[in-house]
Amino acid sequence: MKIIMKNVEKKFGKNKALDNLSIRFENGIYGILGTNGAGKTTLLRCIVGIYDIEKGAIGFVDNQGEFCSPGVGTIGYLPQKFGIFKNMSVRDFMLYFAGMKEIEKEKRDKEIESCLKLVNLDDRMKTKIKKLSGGMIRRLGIAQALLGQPEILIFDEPTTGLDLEERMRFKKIISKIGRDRIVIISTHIVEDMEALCDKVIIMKNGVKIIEDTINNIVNSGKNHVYEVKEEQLKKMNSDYMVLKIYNKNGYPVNRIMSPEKLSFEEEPVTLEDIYFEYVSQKV
Amino acid sequence: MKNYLKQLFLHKVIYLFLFVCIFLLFQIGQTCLYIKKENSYYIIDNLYPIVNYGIYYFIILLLMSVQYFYSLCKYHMQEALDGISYKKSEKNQLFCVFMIHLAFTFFVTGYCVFMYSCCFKIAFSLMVHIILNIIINIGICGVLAIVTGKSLSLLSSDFLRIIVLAIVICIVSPIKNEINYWVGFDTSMIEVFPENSNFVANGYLGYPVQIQRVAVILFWIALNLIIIEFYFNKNVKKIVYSAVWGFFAIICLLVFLIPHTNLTNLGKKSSMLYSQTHYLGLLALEKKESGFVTKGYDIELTISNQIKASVTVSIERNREEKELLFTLYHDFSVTKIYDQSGNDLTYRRDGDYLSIDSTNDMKNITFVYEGNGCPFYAEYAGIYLPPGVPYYPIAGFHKVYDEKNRCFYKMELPEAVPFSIQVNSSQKIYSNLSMDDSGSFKGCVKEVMLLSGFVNEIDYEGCRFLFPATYDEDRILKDIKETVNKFQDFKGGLKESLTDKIFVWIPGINAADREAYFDDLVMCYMFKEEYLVNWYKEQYIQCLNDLK
Repeated sequence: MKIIMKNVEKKFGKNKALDNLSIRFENGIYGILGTNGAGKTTLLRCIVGIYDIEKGAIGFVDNQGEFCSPGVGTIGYLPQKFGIFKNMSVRDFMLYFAGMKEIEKEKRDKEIESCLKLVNLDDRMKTKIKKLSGGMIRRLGIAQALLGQPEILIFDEPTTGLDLEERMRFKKIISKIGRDRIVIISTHIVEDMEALCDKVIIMKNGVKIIEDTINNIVNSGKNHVYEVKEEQLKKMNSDYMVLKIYNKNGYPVNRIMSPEKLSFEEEPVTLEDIYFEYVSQKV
Repeated sequence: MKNYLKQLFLHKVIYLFLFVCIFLLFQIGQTCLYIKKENSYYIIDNLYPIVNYGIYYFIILLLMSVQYFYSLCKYHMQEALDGISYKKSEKNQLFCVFMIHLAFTFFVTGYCVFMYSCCFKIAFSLMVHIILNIIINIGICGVLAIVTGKSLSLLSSDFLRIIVLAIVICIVSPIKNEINYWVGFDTSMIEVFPENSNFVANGYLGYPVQIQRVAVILFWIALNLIIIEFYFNKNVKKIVYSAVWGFFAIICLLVFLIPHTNLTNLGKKSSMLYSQTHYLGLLALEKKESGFVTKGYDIELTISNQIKASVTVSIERNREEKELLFTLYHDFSVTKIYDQSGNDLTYRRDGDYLSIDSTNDMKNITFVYEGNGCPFYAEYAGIYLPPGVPYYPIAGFHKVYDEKNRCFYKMELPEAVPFSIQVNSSQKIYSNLSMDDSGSFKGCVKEVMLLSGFVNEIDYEGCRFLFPATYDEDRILKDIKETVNKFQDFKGGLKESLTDKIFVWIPGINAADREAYFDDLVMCYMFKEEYLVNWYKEQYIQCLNDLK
């Protein structure tokens, strides 16, 4: 299946949340990067059909090349804010969503078991939701999205609230299942993107700034990246932007980006650097 | 749909809802069987569970709706569910609750029809009346509960939501009347249930459909739908949909604003009737004779939500007087008085009393007036204009209200005069006058009675009996036979005095309605000997006197 978005516009009052957006999604893992208010969640909700768009079109094309409407269970969706009735057990919850996705009764138990196993919650089937941690609930949300082997998986900030181990687990799951379907992940954690996504879309103020593979995006950067100590930074006269500050060998170090070639040792540019470069520019 | 139903059963309040539904059905069945067992007259009491316990159904449905819709927002499950069914919005949940309510409404309608048909001989018009009451008090009020619950689910603060919920429950329940007794606000815009609209059912009216009350309920439904469309609908056309509901709300408001029914003034809560409060503290008026004799009446009444009357009184002067005096019930608003030549006449009004400046050549005086303040009622739901009440101008000043006995005086003309009455109404009218081919009531009488609604008529042994069709006909016929036969046993030719008499069962809508006996009419409570004792005592004494 493919998703084709053409000149999509979505407004909330006078505010344009999506502005003339055109994207084409095919099988693979796509990451959507952007700051708060960039329009990531709005984009995903428009794809899922929760929001109607004012202009443009969002079309779904099946494997035969025909436009179609996604049926029940075609899309597996994990929204940014996800909660569950506290008094349900894990199994009841999964059964409920399996029913909503119209999965055949005979296949439900097997499907539920397999999805819970993927997220490592298969030993918690009888546990009440209220006894699960935040991270477990998030994993359960991922599990419900995976139910029914949907052709399109959409995750909005899926790793929010997950610890490192769980984030690693999530990446493993997506890597395993993401090849033969469309997976769209929105996040502001660049690290997760780098490990996972085939293509990245960077958004700012509802506009797509760039859509390309990670390598191409990294190579598209026009600036140079350096690590500079604090005292050296104070003496600098050149234009620069501080990307982040961290400790290195016991000393605070600034990772900076500058359009000029400086005397410091140049660092390899990362996706995060380019992301900051793009989002700090005025569009 | 099955899945949304399953979702609903995750909330414990649905069990309370099912309990209330079963309770309502139980009450309906029990009332029918009780009435049958006790051999009661009043089969219309079967509507009592629906009209009065409908409030509990409303409250529980409201609670269920609030919890169901709010929990989906609170637990953030809604978005994940929306994602499963592409392009289908939260209307699925609203639809689910609505379908449950609709199913119950249909079921209770069918159940009522079945129970009433099994237990009583019931006219088709009465069955339609019962079904209409179910549709309004359960069906439409239930829709209001659902959409109000959906609107309230917008409130994210638990405290605020509980407070607003409590206020809504107070407003629809009888608690509001208790509070308002002290506060005294006009609460007509929130009179959703009949209990609160201060109306007492009576046999001839049942529980009539009050258009203003239905308009109020629809108005609040429309307001809630505006909120729902605006806040929950993510469609770009939500403004258009909101505007449509807004327009509908305005229409309902306009319907509500047309002059109100008089029926709410006949409330059971007030110990003193609205119509009687006028007379509190009024100085007693001395009776005054008019300077003329009434020769006839030509009356045209148009009955809508009130009476519009044009009454031409033919008079014959018997002495010179500067003023012609009439008694006309004070709540009628006189718009015009003119003579036979069409000349407007100058008049003064003081409560029930009209004084018209007199000229020598007056022969016919036409009064044009309107109102719904008659102490009884005349409107879409039914007509009860009893004899002896000045709803048409009566010559002279007469005391209208007996404060000691708290009832209206019987007022009849000193002699029988020709009456011609045209009643413009779609209802079937019963009167002590006969109807001619043109549809007018004509006759020579001292007083006129007009009656319509759920009226049943039995002719027995030359006597005519009018009684509420909402009462058990077989039971009443049995009473009639016993009573008439007993009268026939009376020596002294009492039987003749029965012939051509019309016996009318008084609705008993308020304390001001007393038994009254006229030459051609007997207004009484029940057709049993003990209730007619005063009448036939009078007749018996008259017969004895005649024999002497």
